Amino acid sequence: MTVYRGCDVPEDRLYDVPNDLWVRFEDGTARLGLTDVAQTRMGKMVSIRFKRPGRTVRPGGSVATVESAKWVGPIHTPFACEIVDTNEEAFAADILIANRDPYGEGWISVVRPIDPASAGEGLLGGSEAVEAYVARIDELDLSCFRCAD
Amino acid sequence: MTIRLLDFGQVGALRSQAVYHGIAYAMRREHPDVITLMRPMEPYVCIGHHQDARTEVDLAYCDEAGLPVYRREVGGGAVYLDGGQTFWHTIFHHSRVPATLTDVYARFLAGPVMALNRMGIPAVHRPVNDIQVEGRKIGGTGAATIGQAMVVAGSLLFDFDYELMARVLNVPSEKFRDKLYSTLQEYLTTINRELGDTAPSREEAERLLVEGFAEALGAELVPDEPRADELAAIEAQEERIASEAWLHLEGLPASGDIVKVAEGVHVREAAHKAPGGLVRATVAVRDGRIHGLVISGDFFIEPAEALWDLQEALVGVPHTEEAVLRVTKGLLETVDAPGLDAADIAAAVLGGER
Repeated sequence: MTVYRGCDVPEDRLYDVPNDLWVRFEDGTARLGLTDVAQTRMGKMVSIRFKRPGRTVRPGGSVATVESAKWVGPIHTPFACEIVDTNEEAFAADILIANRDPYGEGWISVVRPIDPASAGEGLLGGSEAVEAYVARIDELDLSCFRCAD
Repeated sequence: MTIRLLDFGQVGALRSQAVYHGIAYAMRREHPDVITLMRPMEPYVCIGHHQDARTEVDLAYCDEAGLPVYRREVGGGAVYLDGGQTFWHTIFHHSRVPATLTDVYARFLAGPVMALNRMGIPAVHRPVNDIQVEGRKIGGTGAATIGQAMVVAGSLLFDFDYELMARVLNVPSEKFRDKLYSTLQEYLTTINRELGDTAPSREEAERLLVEGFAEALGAELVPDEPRADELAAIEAQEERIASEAWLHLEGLPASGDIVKVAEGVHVREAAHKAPGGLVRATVAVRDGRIHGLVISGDFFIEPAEALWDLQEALVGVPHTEEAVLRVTKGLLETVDAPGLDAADIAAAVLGGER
């Protein structure tokens, strides 16, 4: 695990760095979630709307729309996919779950890549991801914070 | 760096929402950033991205009164909008805005604050996103990532119809509506209310706004016309925003939980004398939880929006002393409210003197 300026970048998954999204491939599907940088930049979440399972989404399309106290924006998928599952229940129980635990309980959606062979293209993992994030965090001049309670 | 200034002048209600969505969706990294100005020709109601229209707005009344209701991609609450304001939108490529929302708002609200100051209004930016005059809000602001653009939305608020704003919203009772009306009057001000006869003309105020943006952003604002692709995008947005499917968006967090006004909702009013002043609370309780809340009184709280934050934070919370105290304590820790503590708020919210 690497933590830089308070921003956690676990090395057990892949990253779409410009979109601040993590991706973990799991048996033909991929779990998507927000990075520490993403949850810090948006601030405390107040609402989230998920695209429903069964919907297909083009590359760069949104799998969910999040609203924080001062901002609204989409969560993009880096590759074409079909939505398999969403974490709606967890967010209904605790809307701050991605602010508290972005890499664990606060995941967003599970999707099935339309073209599994190319789905990982452009995503970074391991030391490459850490390097890219260190550069991005410096460029953004950002320090990450988590909700404590 | 130059910024394109697109002044649309007076536009129809639908277009006044479609313009900034369309320009934002047409924005690419290689395009210059844009600031738009416009005033709506007709009044309408606009709901936040994740709001449920049926829950938030009295749709039957709006229909009767001929007020269209549109959903925007920017967040926040339902608002009544009309020609009493000039809307401004900063539409910048997301790669050219600061990393945090605090910094985004600081950058884009500086121009409007400067403009208000030059009109003679002592407005200040209260982070994160309020523009205030002596504790009162003067208009609202919001931000959204739309396509590749970061949009910050705000307005020059010349006049505001407090009564219609309180009328178009769904509230648990008429008593609650009265309270909402008086709270709006107390906490929201306008350019004309502040300046009276000395208020600048609309043209002069808009000129000061453009000047403020240019100075605050250190850029020249170059008047321009929308490109063909921007116009096409605006038209596409008009179609989407006018659609029933977009207004009654599926999968909203609140959908399926539509509250019938007055049914099963108990509204109570109470006052509590705290050392710092009188605290009044009008509370709607449904199924044991706070369903709606207006807190007012003659106590001092700085920043003033903390009171709004507190009201919002308490909605959905069990109507019990323990729950109200827990939420209130957390919020009051960060504000300046002499002679007012969580127990005082709880006393008013839970029903008066104990």
